[in-house]
Amino acid sequence: MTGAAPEDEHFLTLHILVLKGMGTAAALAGTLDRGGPATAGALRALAAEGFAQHLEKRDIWRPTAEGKEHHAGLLRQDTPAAVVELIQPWYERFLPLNDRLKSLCTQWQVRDGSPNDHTDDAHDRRVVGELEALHERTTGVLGGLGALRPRYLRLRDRLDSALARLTGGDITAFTGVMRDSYHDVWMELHRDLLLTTGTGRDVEEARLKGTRLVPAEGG
Amino acid sequence: MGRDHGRPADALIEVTAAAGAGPLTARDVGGKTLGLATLHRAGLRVPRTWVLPAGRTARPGDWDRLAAVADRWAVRSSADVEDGADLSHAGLFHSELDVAGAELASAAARVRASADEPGVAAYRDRVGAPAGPIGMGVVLQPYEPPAASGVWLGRGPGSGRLEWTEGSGERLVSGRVTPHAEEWPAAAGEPGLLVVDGHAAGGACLAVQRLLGQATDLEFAVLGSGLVWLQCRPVTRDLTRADDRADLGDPAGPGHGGRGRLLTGVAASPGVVSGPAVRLRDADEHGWRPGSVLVTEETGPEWVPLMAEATALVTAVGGMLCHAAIVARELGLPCVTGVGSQALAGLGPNTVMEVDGTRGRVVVT
Repeated sequence: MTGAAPEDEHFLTLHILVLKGMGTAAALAGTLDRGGPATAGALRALAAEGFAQHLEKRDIWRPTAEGKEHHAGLLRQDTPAAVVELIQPWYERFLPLNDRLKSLCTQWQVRDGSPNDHTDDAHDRRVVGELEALHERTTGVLGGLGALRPRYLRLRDRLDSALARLTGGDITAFTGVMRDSYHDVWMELHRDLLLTTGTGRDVEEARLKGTRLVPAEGG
Repeated sequence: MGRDHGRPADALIEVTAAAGAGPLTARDVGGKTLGLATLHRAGLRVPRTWVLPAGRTARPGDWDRLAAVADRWAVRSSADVEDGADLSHAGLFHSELDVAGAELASAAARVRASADEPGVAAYRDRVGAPAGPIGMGVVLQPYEPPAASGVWLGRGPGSGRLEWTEGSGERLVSGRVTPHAEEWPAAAGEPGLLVVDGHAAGGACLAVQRLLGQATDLEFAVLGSGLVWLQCRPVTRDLTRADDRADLGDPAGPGHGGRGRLLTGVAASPGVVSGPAVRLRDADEHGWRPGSVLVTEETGPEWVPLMAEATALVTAVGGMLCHAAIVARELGLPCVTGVGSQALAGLGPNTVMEVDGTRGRVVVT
């Protein structure tokens, strides 16, 4: 089975919870593109099994330690080794895009060592223009990944939406925090690929194919 | 293909042409191009390199012919004021990596325009360089993502310091990652050295210095096909006084009154904050206290809710460009990244930290 499998509410809800670390039911529902009641129901079911925890005072959901362990097993079922092998080349195409995105985020935030005050339209337009070019290439990668697992198409749609908000004048849609900004969604994509391919961040860059390296300190 | 490039009438000059590129002057092609030509003439391996000299305009046909050579390109600045012995201008000008052939003309235009960025004039004013226009040559090379990248800082004809990292070198040059470091001469077979095709890269750097007859700064990339040289320039500073990254995590050095242990890292988000610190290994680990300095190995999206409640952030790995730095800047949180895992080992539960995200320093008491 290497094509797109039918998606499972239980897995998807736990998956997004693990990716995000925590979130309100409304934020998680927005991410999943599901009705709020459906997501709330899935969260309550996860909590009943001890996989998620609801912090009443702050109305925030988070995965439990058991939930993270359970998620690791579900992820291996959802995306078995044969599919991971097909995802791997897309992940490798993602890596240079990831470097580029982080560089653009920094250019958006910092100018000459000071915070970008967004008064220089020419600078902002140039950075957004470069993001648009990067987005085109990212869309291609997510299309390829989406043919394997539909959750990547949702990430693509969320990046589309963040970019549309940015070009529509919402300057928080680039690097804003906890508002489904381009960088918010990108971080989730990055974490999804790290979890799905079983790559530790420390070995991520060393995986780039080519000459064998002798790591420092034998590590 | 070689026939089509390097003719005097062409705007784009192939620096690595078999027949030679003819006389090149720093004024026209910039310091980086001259360095590449020097390496090429010395018989060292450099990527195929073209240059668009300052003030020249390439025609669409020129770009098309170049685009036919490779799919992906590196487009780099080569200013007449750059890479000379006096002023480095390091990091001031724009370069673009992994550029599609169809984008070459616009990427070259952007690189050339970076000579007019306000930061460049501010730097030259600060260091007392003469005002006036900068001649910006543009270097064009086929691009391949490197497996590793290194910078060699020549200390003397027979010694130097090698800093290298896995992956792309852009972050290395700008201090965005914590690099591996080697001091040369090093004992052959010492563990931890960067080895390419059975040879230590540091030894190769020493060999280049011998060939060129002087202490030299070098940059190289390790590709699937082996090591290629990207830059060379005469040594521009006295390294004996340089801030040495080998000091990471050492007890307080001179200069801050012995108030505590000094950690140094990358100044990722500005501001100074002092307060209790909480070291966490997982974002859902117990013990987090809102209003504290958050201390972690690295961060991802699951850390963002904690960062929103933190007063400052300190991470063991990462640099200017990691997700943690981007989020910290957005939240206005002072942040120092890349202090090293060792520096964070053995932090007690009642640790207080002064985090200086402007200077990249953390004092632990």
